[in-house]
Amino acid sequence: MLDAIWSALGEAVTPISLLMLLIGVVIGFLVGILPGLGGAVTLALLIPVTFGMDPVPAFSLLLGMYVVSAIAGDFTSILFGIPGEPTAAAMVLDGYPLNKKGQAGRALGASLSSSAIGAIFGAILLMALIPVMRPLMMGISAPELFAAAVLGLTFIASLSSGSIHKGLVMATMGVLLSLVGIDPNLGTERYAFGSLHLWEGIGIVPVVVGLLGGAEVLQSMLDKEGHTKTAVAPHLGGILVGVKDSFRHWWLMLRASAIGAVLGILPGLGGSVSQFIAYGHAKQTSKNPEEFGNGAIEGVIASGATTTAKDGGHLVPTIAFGVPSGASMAVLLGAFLILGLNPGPEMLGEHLEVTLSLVWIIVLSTIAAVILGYLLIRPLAKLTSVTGRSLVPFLIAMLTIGAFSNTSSLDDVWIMLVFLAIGVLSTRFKWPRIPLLLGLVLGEILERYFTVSYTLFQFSWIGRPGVIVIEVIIAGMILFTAIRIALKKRAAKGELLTLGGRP
Amino acid sequence: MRKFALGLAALAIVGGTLTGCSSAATSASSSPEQAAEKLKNQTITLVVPFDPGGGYDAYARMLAPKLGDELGATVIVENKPGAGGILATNEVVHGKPDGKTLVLLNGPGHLGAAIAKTNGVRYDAKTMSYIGQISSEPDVLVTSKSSSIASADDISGKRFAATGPGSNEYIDAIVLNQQLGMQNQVVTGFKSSNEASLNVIQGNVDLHSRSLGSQQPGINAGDLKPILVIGENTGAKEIEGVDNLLDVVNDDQKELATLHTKLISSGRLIAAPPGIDPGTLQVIREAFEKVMTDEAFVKAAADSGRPVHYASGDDVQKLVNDVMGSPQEYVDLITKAYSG
Repeated sequence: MLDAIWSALGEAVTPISLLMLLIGVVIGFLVGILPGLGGAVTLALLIPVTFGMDPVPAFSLLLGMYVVSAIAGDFTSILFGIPGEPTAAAMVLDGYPLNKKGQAGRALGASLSSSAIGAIFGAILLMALIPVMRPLMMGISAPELFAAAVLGLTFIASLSSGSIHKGLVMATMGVLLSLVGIDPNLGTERYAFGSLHLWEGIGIVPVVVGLLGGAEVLQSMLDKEGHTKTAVAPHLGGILVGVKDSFRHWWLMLRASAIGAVLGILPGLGGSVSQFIAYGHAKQTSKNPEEFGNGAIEGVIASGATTTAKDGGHLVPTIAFGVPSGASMAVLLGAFLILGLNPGPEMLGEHLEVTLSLVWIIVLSTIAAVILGYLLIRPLAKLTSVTGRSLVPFLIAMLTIGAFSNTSSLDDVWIMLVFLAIGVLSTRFKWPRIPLLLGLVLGEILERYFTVSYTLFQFSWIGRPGVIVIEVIIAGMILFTAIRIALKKRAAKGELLTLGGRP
Repeated sequence: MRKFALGLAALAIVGGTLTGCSSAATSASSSPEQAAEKLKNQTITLVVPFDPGGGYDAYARMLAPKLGDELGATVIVENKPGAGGILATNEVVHGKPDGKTLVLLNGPGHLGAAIAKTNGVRYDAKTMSYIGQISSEPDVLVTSKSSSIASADDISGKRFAATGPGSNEYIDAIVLNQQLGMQNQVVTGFKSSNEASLNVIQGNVDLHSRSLGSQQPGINAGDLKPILVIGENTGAKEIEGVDNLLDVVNDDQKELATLHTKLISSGRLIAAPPGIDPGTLQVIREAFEKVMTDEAFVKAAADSGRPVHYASGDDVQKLVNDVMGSPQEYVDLITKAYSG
């Protein structure tokens, strides 16, 4: 195995592989920063280029591009408050407020360094799992995915800034919205009102763009003069501060990476869930949870690390059984087949070197992205010195294209506008938006995998080993939260007593 | 007042961004020479009704540059996923028949939905202008390597996996149940056909039918074993010696089995909106034939794991007419496969 690791490195650093890697990194940066051009579409466009190439240079181009697009996607979230990709939604929550405070450099630095650590963490996990990934995947089916979605639900409380009740209402609304579309089991239409577009349900891309990005843009349009951020000059010296911040919170960075990578292994869960779990976890364990949503650097670090860590995890089911998690991995799987590689035992035996070279490609492209990103942060952060208002036309075009590109359909622009309105109203009346988003994503998973689990196993699935592990985690989480609340109450009581107030 | 102006400006930008996404053109009846001249240096859109990255997308992107060379035009691929392909097909059918809009269809899905007159279908499949067939492959029914099922004789009482009603894999399950006189349960709700396949490998469910190209990796990895071929066997080594549906059905079911074989073998089709003028249709069909009979293209396609299979536009038109004129028994069967 050790020999194979080094010879895979040798393959990954041949001149042609490195050249492809660099091209991939540059394309990945552009794709990540521009909303509307998603990683999956770009991968599909790049595949014909790899015809006739050897596997390692081909993956240097494809995987290099893909990994870097996730890192760069966070940049758009921080700079404009519009997620470059749906998996960069959690980054908006604290990255954009930091930018508004004039700390764009710091947020970008922290996101870049935590993304890099996350990506490398995911790659190492992928390598560590090589001997056991096939037996591991044999134990992951619908029940495990259902249990993981229930785990996701338990984070609603911590993601509801302010009132938990409001959070629950919003999450329920999200679950109800997830019912729109063709019933996954019976094939009947639900709440589609004759619109074929709604057959596929309400897409996450237009919702994220409208609910988070659109609402911010409208806010800055409605801002009274003088409220725009002209006054605050961007603080560029903060890049290194951000990098230092992320290493100061190294333990959080590792935990967030682990959440992203481990949940990434579950096909069908998707990256949009794990980012909120990592973010919620960061908030729960933070000493200053009240700062979350107003520019907590820990929020940036957790979202950055988890978004990139998932890629290493995503590759596990793809390599082990050819089951891709999500659109991008499906395209990458296509590339495997075109290059004559069969996912399965072959990738772990005969073609082990190719699998190991994927690990190196993730590491190398991350390093290249960090260098390139460091050079680009300064010019990018200068963009934030442009007044909010003059950016508005540009941002509206970005929102429209971002929503439209989901399925090249005007209907998605209408959906984006509806959620923009919901976003503005919830900000105005202080209703949390994230539970709505989480409910929408989890609702579909919960329904689908509950029915599949039941049809496959009736209720005996509750005792499956993977499910028990997740059940224990959920119980631990509830216990942990209960203890924390109890301690807080006692502390508050104590404070009141020492202040001489009535108990 | 300023707010109002800002709002107007915003609307104008949204509008401007959107109108950039559509274009208009004119068309009139013309001779092949005139038609060819009219398509020169134009942009032709090849609509793919599925997400980027899948098999349909791969075939479209393979074909687009070559077809463009033959026509002296630029052929671009546009992905318009939704409603299992019906969304994009509806749009193309009601688009301008000027030869500048083509669509890559999933034959079995397209014709199946049309036969079943499923909700949302707003076209008559017979009226479309077919350019030709780009690929055709049979479906293969598989089970896990460790399963006790050895042949089609053992599958009664076992469970099928499928994504959902109306999918190709669900239609196969319903057709097999009827043709082999079985009452097998179909477990639906899997998010993707790959996920359904993993559950077969895990032994959670027994049977799964989908296209040969999708089954090949699992068979080659030794995780899956082929049980039955549905459709014309194209001679791939993975399914050598495996029974065909036509061989295992009783004589009274032969007619329906033959129709179903036709439906599955309709494969991937290229079509244009109905009412295209004959000259333009001829030009595009000829260009398509040239690409599909070019040895270098055929070889490159096979090498990339996407083998092509050519049938002319006329042949496809005949096949569509045959399938659309199916006896009521088959129509009822397919309708059942769509209603779940």
